[in-house]
Amino acid sequence: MAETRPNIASPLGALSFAEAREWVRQLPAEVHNIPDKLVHLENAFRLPLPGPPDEAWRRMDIEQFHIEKMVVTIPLISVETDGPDPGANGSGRIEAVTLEDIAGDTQRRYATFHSRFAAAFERRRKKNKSRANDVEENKLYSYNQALSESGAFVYVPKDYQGENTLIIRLESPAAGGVALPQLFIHVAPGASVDILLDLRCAPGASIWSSLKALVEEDGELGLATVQTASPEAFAVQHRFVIAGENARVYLDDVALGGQVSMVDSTCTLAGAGAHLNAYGLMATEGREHSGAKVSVEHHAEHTKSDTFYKAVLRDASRALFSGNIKIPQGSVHSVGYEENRSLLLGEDARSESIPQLEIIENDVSCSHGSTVSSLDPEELYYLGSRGIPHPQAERLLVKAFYADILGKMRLGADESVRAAVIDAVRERTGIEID
Amino acid sequence: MPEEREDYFNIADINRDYEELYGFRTASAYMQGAERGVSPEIIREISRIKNEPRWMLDFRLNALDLFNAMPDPPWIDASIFKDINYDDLYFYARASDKQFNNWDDVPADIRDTFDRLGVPEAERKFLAGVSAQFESEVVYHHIQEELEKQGVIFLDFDSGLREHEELVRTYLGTLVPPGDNKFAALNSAAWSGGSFVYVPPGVKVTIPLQAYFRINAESIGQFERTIIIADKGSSVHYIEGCTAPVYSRIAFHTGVIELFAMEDAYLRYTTIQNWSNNVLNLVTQRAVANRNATVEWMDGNLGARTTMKYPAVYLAEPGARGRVLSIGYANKGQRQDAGAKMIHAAPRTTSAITAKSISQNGGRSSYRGLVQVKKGASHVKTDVECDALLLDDFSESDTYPTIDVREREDVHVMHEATVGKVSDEVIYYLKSRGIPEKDAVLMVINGFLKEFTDELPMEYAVELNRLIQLEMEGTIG
Repeated sequence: MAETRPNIASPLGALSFAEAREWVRQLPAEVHNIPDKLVHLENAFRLPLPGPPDEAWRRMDIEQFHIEKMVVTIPLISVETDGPDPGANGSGRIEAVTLEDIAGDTQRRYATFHSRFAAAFERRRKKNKSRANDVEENKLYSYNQALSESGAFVYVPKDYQGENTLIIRLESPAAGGVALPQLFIHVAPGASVDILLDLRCAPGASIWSSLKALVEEDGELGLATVQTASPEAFAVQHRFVIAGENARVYLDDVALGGQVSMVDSTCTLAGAGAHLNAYGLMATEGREHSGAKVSVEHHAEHTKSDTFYKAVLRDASRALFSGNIKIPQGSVHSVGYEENRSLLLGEDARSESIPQLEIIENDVSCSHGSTVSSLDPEELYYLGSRGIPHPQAERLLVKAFYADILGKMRLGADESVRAAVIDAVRERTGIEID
Repeated sequence: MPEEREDYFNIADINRDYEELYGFRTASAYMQGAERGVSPEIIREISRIKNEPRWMLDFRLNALDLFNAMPDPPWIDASIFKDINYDDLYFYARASDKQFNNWDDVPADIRDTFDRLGVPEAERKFLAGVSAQFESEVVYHHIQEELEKQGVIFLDFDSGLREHEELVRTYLGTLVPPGDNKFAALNSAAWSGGSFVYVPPGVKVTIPLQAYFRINAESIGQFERTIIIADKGSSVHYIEGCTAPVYSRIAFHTGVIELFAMEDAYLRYTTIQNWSNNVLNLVTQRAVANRNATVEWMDGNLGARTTMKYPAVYLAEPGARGRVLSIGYANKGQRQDAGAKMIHAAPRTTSAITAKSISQNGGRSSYRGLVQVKKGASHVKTDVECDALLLDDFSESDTYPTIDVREREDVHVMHEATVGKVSDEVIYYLKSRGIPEKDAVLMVINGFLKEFTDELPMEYAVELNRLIQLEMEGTIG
């Protein structure tokens, strides 16, 4: 267990801008981009809590949190593989270190990652035409960017083909605290990596994390995120993933718990032939509110995306899916699909779905689907007629509901990840989904 | 399909020149002009001229306060409102002081406009009654005797207010309260014209009731207000068609339509909107469907520079049904932001939305919709389908649906959308059969819209096909 200490003594509400600015300026400049952090710091102080007009955030009940009372805490971070790292074909070893440990060659790669990511992000920004009410600026993201000093950097060298899954654990350790970890992933050309990101919150703790990933040409990133949080946590993930030519990105999201949990991800298919699968599994109960905002930008020809999120809602919980496929002019032969399915079990549960499309190119194939349903009375009746009592029948039907999304998930094929997901779901819902 | 081809060539000869046939404007002598902009004085003046009861003036003034206090709707990107300058609009003007029972009494310049639109023929053949809105005021009104015998009230809204004040007062603003949105507030303050329809219990109106709405003056705001009440077990189909001439300045149209379908009633409202390409058309259309009632909105949006229109059905009682079938056509410089809303507030209610859009020459069409299932609304089934066709590689299509479900008991909510282009394979096939490419594309588009045109009375279907064809002229091949 690492030491848990507030790294800025005052709660956010009592922190003055000058105080925070001084703190940022004293960070080690070789790891942190100080000017960038100062811009974010201004945004963090200036912006209101995320909400209208953003269609996804305005539906999240975040006013209930007293973020001014939260204290920034240092997250617990561990990075490990679930077996020896083979560096299979002599391509060099995968480098996965916490930001505190960055030094030497890794530091050089870390700097390279940031400059390449920034350049790719700038190209993205130029191509991205603002249309709907999605708001890029976000107070919570800016807090993460400005006041974080902890996180991890993963560098996957060219042509690396590891077989083992890299496991990264980020935990917000202290009640009343908010941890702001940052994760950076650089997949070099032709490399392939699978990562399991285990995000946790101790009781009463919150977490606002961020991820920036750059997958270069022919690279492959499998990233499974299992987020578990106590019922009082405010868990937010901001993600920016940029995929180069013929790169393949597989995002598997498992969101379990949190008073409010929100994944806000923007995936840009920047190179021709880039491919994205984004699959999500949500389970909510009590008064939890879980959201997923998935923006997919087809910024090149022959790009392909498949987004599919499934949620089971119990009690008085709420789940939100807000997807957006954007295909600007010129991204011919692109294929985009998004789907959201929700199963309402709770008497006071509420499901919201906003599957959006913004298309300015006609030589594409793009569609979406969304369904919300309850347990089918006929199916329940059938199972009942076979002597299966209602609670058990319900569990069976939920298991069936989850079966396809678990089958689609890339890391569902990895035994250890699959086990981690299944365990997490069982622990949360009591349902055996395997 | 030889008949269809023949039909197509026949249509091709009609209205070859859009400018000549639709792009005209007749010089009207304004009997009553009003100042630009909106102010309590203007509202008082409108109310005074119309000799309205005190409560209506209060309704208007209250709405004006709301209008001034309200921001533009926040749920849409603000760029859509950038051209609106309220101070530069006329809020009331009318071309004639009188109502006419007889076509020959209508002033010649107005009659000329309608002659060129073909209204009198259409009326002779098909129409039950024509309520022609010209320059903010209904100037011509005719109801067939049989309708009167059935007890059906079909009046312009001002007459409705005069002759059936209590009915109007009971229903006005109950579905679209003045504070609902900024444009509803503006309409409530400055409304003029529109229709008032009441169908008594059990009466089936077999012929569609039609009203032609027109805008014909520069920067004139049109604020039609329509209430349709289909009483228990009755049935009625109301058609509103719009064809506006081309102007140099922005015209502004903000209507409020409220439909009430009582127990077991059937109510269909059809709109073919073809405003000229400088019109802003921001309409609030809302209906309530009571026990076992059915409400259907058929909504065709072809013209206008900007359209914002989301017909809604509030399914208030068990067994109610709602349907919206809409098409949007966005050509150069046009933005069609259309959609539908279905609010399931009672058990055993069903709804269906079919939205089809076509974009070309850089036009932007959007579907923006809401399906909401409230708590307690069990045994609900709802289905949404959105299909968009992009005819070139720089036109735009958006889909912004929202699905909000709060009931778990036997609820089925489905939503599907697709965006694409006219299939190369289909065009290739048709060309291989000797059909020129342009005709082939038109055939595909007509097929795409068939679900909508099939629901229209014949003369509207013909006119719609003709308009689509005119829109497409010179753009394909």
